[in-house]
Amino acid sequence: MSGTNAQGGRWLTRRDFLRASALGVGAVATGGLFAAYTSGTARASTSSSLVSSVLPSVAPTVSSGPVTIEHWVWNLRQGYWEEKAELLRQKFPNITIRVTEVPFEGMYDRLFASLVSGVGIPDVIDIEGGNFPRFVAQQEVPLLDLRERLATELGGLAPGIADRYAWRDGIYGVELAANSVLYFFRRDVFEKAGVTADNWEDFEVVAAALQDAARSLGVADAAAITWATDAQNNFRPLFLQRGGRYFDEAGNPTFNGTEGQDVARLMSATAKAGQAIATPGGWIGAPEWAAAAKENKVLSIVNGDWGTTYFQQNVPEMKGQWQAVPPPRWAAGGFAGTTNGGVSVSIMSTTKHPDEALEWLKQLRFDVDTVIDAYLRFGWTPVLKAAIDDPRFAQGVPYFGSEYSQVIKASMADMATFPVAIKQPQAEQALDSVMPGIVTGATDPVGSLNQAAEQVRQSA
Amino acid sequence: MNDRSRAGLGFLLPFAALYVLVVATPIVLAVGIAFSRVKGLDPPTIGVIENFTRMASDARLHKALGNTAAYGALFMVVTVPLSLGLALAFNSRHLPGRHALRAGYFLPYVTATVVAGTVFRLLLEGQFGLVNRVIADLGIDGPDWLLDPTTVLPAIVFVGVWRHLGVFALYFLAGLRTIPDEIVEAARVDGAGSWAVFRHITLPLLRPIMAFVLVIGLVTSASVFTEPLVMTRPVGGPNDAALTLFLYMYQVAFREFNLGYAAAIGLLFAVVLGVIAVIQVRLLGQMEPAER
Repeated sequence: MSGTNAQGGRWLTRRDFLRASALGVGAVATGGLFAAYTSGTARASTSSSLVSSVLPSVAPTVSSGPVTIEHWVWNLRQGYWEEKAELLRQKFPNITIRVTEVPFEGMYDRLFASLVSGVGIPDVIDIEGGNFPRFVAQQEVPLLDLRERLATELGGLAPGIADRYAWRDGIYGVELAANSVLYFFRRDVFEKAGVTADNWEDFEVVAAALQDAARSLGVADAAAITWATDAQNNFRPLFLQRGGRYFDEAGNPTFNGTEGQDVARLMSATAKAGQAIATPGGWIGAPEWAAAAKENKVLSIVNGDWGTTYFQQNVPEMKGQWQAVPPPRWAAGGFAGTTNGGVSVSIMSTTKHPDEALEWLKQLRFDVDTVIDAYLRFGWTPVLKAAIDDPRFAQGVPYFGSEYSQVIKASMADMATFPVAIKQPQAEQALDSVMPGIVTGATDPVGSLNQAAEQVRQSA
Repeated sequence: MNDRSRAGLGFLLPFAALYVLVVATPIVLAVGIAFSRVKGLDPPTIGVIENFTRMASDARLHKALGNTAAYGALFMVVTVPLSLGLALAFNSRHLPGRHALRAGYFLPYVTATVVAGTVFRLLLEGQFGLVNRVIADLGIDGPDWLLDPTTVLPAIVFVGVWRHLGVFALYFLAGLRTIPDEIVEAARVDGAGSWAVFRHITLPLLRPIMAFVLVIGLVTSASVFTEPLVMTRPVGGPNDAALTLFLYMYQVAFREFNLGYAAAIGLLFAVVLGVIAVIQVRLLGQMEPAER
C-alpha cells in the first residue's frame, strides 16, 4: 500500500495505524498498571485489605428511610423469597428485599469478582458450606460477624449448629437446614431379606442378603448401595461419623488416618464384591440415579436429608417403597449422626445496611413459621429448636411418613461436627480425584488416601 | 496528514479504542499480574517470580500439560484426516444428498458445548448409559468411560471430534473449491489416477488451508475446557486424568482464587502455543495461497 495519494497528500498507512495503536496500548496499559500497582502497594503498606479499602466500612445505623437489601440465592423457589420479604415488609415497611437468582456454579466466582472490583456486591448471600472456607481464607473475612449481633438468637439453634460457620472468634452465617445424613433404603427388599443395617462393619453381609432378596424379587443385578464419586457426598459424612477430622491442629491432613481408611476400605470392598456401584450420574439428584432407582437397580443410598426433595421430584411413584433412617453406626466408634452439605445465610461486611440485613436474616432463619414453611415446602429440616418442637414438624414428610421427623431428631441427637478448615477445598479436590478409583474398587483405598494427603501437603 | 487520512483514522478509532480497552490492556495487565502475588482479596504484592518457580514443582500443572498435549495429539490425528476425507466426499458430485450430509455434519458445531457434554455424559454413564447397554447386547462389558482413568480422556476427545469434524470439513471444502478444475483435468489427461491427483495436486494446493486447520485445531484442542468440566465428576476426572490446562487454570483462578498463578499459567500457555503455531506454519509453508 502506498503512503501517498494522488493529491500528494499522505494516506494512513498500516504502519501509521500500528504505531498509533501501540502508543495507545502502551499509554492505557502503563496507566492502568501504574494505577493498579500503586494502589496495591499503598494498600499493602497500610496493612489494609482490598475489601475495606475499596468499599465503605460497616455503618451500623438503623435507617427509617427506604432501604433495599439485595440477596443472592441459587433458586427463586417459586415466589418463596418474595412471600417472606412481604412478611418482613409488614414488620418494617421501609425495607425492600430484592432477591437475585445467581446460578450456583458461578455465584462465588461472581461474588469474588464483585469484591475485587467493588461493584455489585450483594448485602446478603447464601453460601454453600463447601465454599465457606474460601471466604475465611482471606486476611479480612468479607462477611459480617454475627456472634454478638445475634447472640440471643444463636442460642435458639440446635446444639453445634451455630458453630458450622464459626471461624476464630466470629460466626459468619446461619445454617439453612440440619442436612442430617440419612440412610435411604428400599423397604420391601430389606423386609424380604430380613436384615437391618445396624453398623457399617457388617454391611457386606447385609448387602449380600439384600442382593439375594432382590434376585428372588426378579432383579438380577441390583446394587445394594451406591457410592458417590466425589468426596463430599459419601466419604466425608461417613468419615466424620466415624469420628475423623480432615486436619490436625497444625493443619496437617489426617483424612488418611484410621477413620478415613475404614471408610475407604468399606467402599472399595463393597465395590469389589459387586455389592456397590458408583452413584449413577454422580449424585442423588441426577437423572441417571432416578432412572436406576426406577429400574430397581439401586437398593440404598447414604445422603443428606435434602435428598428427600429428589425422591419426591424424581421418583414420586415410588412413594412407600423407600424408607429413611439414621445411617448405620460404626462399631469402632464415632457418632450416630453426621452432616452432608449446608447453606448459610451470610451478610457481606460491605453492606451499608447491616441492621436491615440482620432483620431479613432473622426472618428467614429464626421465624418459626418461616422455618416450618420451608420444611414443608422444600424439606429443609429445621435447626431452630422452637421449630423442631413444633407440632407441624412432627407431621413428617408425606413421602417418608410421620416417622421421618423422629428420624431427623434421632440423627441430630448425636451429630458429628464439621469444623471449618482453610485447606478444606484442597482436601476435597484431592480426595475427589482419587474417589472414583476407591468407589469402583479399581485402586488401593489406603494408597489413594495417602496420595491425596500428599497432594494437600504439597499444595500452596 | 490530509483530510482523507484523518477520515481514515476516524473510521479506525472506534475499533482501535475498543481493541485497546478490551484486548490489549487486559493482556498487558495479565502479564503484570503473572509477576505479582494476587491471591483472594488480600493486598497484591508486585514484582515476584514465585508464580513461575511454582510451576516447576506443580505436579497437577504437569499432569494438566500432559493431558492437554495428549488431547491435542489425539484430536488432531483423528479430526484432520477424517475431516479431509469428508470434504473430499462432500466435494464429489457423485455423492447423493451431499448438501444434507454437509449440514448434518455441521450441526454438532452449533450445538452448545454444555448440552453436548451433558448428553454424552448420560450416554457414556457406566452402569446405565446407552453406549454400554448397546455394546452389552453385543456381549461386550463396556468400561465406566468417565470414571476409568484410561478411557475418560479418549471419551472427551471423541466429543471434541464429533463437534468439530463438520466445521473442519467445511474449511477443507472451501480449499478444495479453490483448486482450478483445469489443473485436475490436465493431470488426468496426462494419465494421473485419483491417488496421484490427490497426492500431487490436491494436497499441495490445500497447504494453506491445512496450515489454517492445524493452527485452529491446535488452539481448539489446547483450550478445551467445557467438555471435561461438564462430563467429568469429579471435575478433572479420576486421578486428574482429564484435567486440562484451561480447567486447571480455572480451578487455580476461581477455586484457589490465586489470580497471579493463573495468569502465569496463561502466559506460559500463550507463549508455548504461539511457538508451536509458528513452527507449524513454517513447516507447512506460507499461509498465503501458493502463487500460480
